[in-house]
Amino acid sequence: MAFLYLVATVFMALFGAIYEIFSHEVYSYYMIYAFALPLCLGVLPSLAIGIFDLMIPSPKAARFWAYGIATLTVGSAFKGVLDIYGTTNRLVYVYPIAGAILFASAFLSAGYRRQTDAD
Amino acid sequence: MKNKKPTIIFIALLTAFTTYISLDTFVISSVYQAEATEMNTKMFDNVEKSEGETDASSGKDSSNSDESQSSKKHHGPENGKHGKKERSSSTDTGTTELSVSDEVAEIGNYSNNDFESTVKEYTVNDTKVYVADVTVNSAETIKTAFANDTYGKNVTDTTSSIASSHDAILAINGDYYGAQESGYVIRNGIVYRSESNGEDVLCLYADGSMKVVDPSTVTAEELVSEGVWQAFSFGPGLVEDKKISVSENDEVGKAMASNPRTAIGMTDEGHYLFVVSDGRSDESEGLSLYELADFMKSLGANTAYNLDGGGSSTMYFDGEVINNPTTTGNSSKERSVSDIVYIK
Repeated sequence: MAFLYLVATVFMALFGAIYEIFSHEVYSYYMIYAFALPLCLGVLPSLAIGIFDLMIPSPKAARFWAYGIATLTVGSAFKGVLDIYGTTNRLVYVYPIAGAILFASAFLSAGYRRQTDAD
Repeated sequence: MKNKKPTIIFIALLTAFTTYISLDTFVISSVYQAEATEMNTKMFDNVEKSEGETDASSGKDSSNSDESQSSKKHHGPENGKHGKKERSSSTDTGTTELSVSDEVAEIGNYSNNDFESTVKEYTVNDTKVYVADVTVNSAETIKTAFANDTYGKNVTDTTSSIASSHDAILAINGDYYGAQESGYVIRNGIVYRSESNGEDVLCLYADGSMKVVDPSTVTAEELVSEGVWQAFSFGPGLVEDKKISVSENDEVGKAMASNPRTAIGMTDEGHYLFVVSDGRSDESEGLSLYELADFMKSLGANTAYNLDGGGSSTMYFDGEVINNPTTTGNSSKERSVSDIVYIK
């Protein structure tokens, strides 16, 4: 999973950088920092679990968590597109709401276990 | 496959929603009011006409100066990016570094019973800037129009098409209200949107005065009752009470670069400036907001306001587009916009 999050991080970093290059120096923090979501919520926790032998979430909880990260990341990038274009759309608030619901679902999903137990 | 099913469903839902919101933002038209051509001219009943009425002249009399060096030109296509708005902060400070060429080319002039207009081309900081100096008998002469005479979202047309359909002599792009979901929209004395977006609003009053207003202090309906004929929500205000009201670090949204710009200003009641600058090209670098404000002040503006810029910046005069609208800088083409300001 950590590898997938790393791929998403690198992809969003490149996407944001390339988008900004063609945006006539109009910038958006949502676009520039969209990579930080899979990085901080995916890569770093995965590394921490592996390094410090922490409890790992159940597959169900891990799936909800991944969905939440994907939702927030896509939402951040799209908000960046709106900002750079100079327009608005209230529907963009669906992304953080859906992301929060998915994260809550991840926490509510039972079944944490130690990595060594799972091996 | 069973384990992947929820993921497939999630990806499908996320993709479908993102596709829908993209179409809703950029493609799908929503008509809020068709045939939006009503004009509330009652506010002019009590306004005295200005003393210096323009001389009657039979028909059009636009002429190009022999010394004109303007390069009137035409288009190419593109998508546009117009910056998001931020409230201006600081006041006029220090010296200007504006470089205005001594060469000013007169592109043309026009006069009739209702207004006089002279259009000139300046070179400011390696940028071509087109200035229409307009004197009107009544603020009623300054009108606005929606694309396809329709108030709605993603209802757009080029400035020149909208202008020609209204027999405009002079026109510039407006505030592209259609790209926003809020911000006062008052056109020809009619309130179309009364939800504020918190940004400065430029008000043109029936008595010919012009003022930048904080929408948190007044509703759109109150503005009309006070005699506001036109109101625009883009901003920021550039010049207020003869002082520059943007700092060198201010920008529309996050656009820190020089760009094509459109601005409107007033030197005296009944005397206005329509200004469009080119940009993003080898010929014209573009102007920052501060440079634009400084230039408006140098023209004598008491009040000036920034309208939608970038690829939207277009000036139409006497039947043709006289600036070089561009979005990417690679080719010149008018962008379709949602509204214009015009005179006929």
